[in-house]
Amino acid sequence: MKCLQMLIHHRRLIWNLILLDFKVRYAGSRLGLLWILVGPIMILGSYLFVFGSILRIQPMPGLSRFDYGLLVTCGLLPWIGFSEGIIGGTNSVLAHRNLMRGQLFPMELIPVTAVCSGLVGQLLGIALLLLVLGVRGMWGANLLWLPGLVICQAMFTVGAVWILSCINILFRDLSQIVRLAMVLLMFISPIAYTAHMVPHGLDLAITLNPLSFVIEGYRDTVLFGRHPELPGMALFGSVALVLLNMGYHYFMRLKKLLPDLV
Amino acid sequence: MNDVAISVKDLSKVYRLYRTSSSRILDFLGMGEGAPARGYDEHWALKNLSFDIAKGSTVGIVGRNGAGKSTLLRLLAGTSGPTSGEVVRHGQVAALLELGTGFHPDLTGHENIYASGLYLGFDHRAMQTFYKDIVEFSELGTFIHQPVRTYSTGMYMRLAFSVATCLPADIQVVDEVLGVGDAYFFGKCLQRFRQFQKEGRTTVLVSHDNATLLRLCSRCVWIDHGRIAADGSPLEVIIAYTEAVQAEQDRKSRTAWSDPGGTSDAAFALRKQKAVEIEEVQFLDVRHVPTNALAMGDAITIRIHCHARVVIERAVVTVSIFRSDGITVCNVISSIEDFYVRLYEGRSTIDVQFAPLLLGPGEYTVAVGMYPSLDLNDSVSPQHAVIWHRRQMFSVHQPVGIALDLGIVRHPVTWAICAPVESEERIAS
Repeated sequence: MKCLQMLIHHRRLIWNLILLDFKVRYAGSRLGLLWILVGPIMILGSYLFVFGSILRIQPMPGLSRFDYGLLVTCGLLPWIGFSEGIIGGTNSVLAHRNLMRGQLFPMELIPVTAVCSGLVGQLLGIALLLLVLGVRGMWGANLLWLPGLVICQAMFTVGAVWILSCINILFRDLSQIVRLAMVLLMFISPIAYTAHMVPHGLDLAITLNPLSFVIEGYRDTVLFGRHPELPGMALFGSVALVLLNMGYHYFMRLKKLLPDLV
Repeated sequence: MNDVAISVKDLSKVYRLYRTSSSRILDFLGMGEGAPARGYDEHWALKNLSFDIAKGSTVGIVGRNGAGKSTLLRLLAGTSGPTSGEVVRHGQVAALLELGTGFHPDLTGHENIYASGLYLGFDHRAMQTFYKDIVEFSELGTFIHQPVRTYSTGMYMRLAFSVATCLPADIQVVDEVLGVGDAYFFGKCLQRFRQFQKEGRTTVLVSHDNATLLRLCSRCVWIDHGRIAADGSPLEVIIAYTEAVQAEQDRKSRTAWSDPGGTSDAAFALRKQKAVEIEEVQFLDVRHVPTNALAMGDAITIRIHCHARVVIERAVVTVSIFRSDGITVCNVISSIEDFYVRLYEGRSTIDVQFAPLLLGPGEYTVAVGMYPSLDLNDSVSPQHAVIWHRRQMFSVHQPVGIALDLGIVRHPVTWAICAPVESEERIAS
């Protein structure tokens, strides 16, 4: 696993790059890091308003308003981290192209940094969620699955972004397409509803959607207090690992060509 | 192999110029190969270059725009990969190709120093050891805590240059970044490069400023159309290069035909036919004996032997003296002294006497020019009939009994003691 070795070797540099990324992003802004939370909380609020209060979706009998809120949160958190990571990561190499021309820099870290920065909002959200769960006395051993879910999701995103960021250099329309795809993904992922509510014939959209595994996993651990479905998790975990490796090799192969193309 | 810093073997670089963006994508995906009609043209930026760069040497690279200089630097630095051949580097390379590329406009100078360090592979702790040096060299003072977007271009470049040169490296690859500041900062930069030379750092440098190259380099390489056109001592290579540029201009001006029958045209015709040739230039001492070594204050006569195939009624002769570091020490023009030469068909000899010679100690070369006519007001395009410039030196040493540095010029002066001025008077006035 060359790429895992590489990531571990550069862990401090990646951490510093993430810090730098935030410093640059929020330089001169007053609320700073708080902005990361404002967006997701707004989306959560509108979801609860539209689907909870107006459309009154009932995924299962006897679900309280609070439980529905948790259900939507479990769906939104992975989507936020995933879409931020994919959108930011796809653009990342192009945005940092000057690093390739003037100096020697391990460019493969740039998409990784973008994905990790995208995850920060999700992680802060998880921290808030844990706080709420603690107050409600809903803590259990099953919550220990959460880090595993986050890591699998991160591996999947990094692998995808290593490929997407390369293609984006040649085919710049990709970043727009990805942006739209993420909006689409928000609706076809089981965020406001559960996977079981999807009628037969359409459930392929759920099976093929990598995010639905993660979302259902969050719900199992947070809402239902049980471990995620193991076959699905194993499948998603191995897909993530394979994609991570594929992405790494693709990126490293193209890395030599990139400086001449940007 | 231990004294070689960079070894280049059979290096080539091809850029693919795609006709359409889709053929670029196809090729990128590996599907363009073998297609009956290739979707791109090949541009050979460099072709089969081989040379070694010795450790501790400073090598200048000259050449026209688009000759492949920057491509070569990128390959030497490793920011771009060769199409074929190889570059072997013995030591850590610092690339000063584009200054300040990693700077974020909204971060302060202070934060940007650490950010650049990160991109160059130095973490916070490592950068702390260089930080003081960087800030001191950039002379930004309290501005270091302001966002760099508020900096002037000069300040920005000064910071970038300081960051780039304060970090340790064995080999430096520098692309035309020396002209970043005012004359004062330029002097500081030169000093810094001299210090690098003392420390034994290897530098590869691209510059269009010949004087800088002459001052810094121990060797020059002229790249033309992706190949090495000349490689050797800075003076020889630069002379060959400037002559080639001049010849190119001649060809252009002939095709442009801008000034038919005018002076430039006449001069061009003379150059073309080699109507005037300077065969030899001699340095003679007081007794008219050829010499290469003189003392300050001696007299020197520069004797020009020329050969003409036409008659030029009022030719203007110029003699320029360059110090070995490229500074033009003086440029004498005969028409200023109202002296014109009537050139006959056949040989003639012209003497220019410098008596006494005011030049300070050092080594000097001479360039001689002949012009059918010369407009003193036109600094842009004096049209010469012939210019002679060889690596033929004369040296000037200190007068006997003086060891102090007397400077570039020993200026004739008059000393006098004035009556002391009362201090009260000064205040009153």
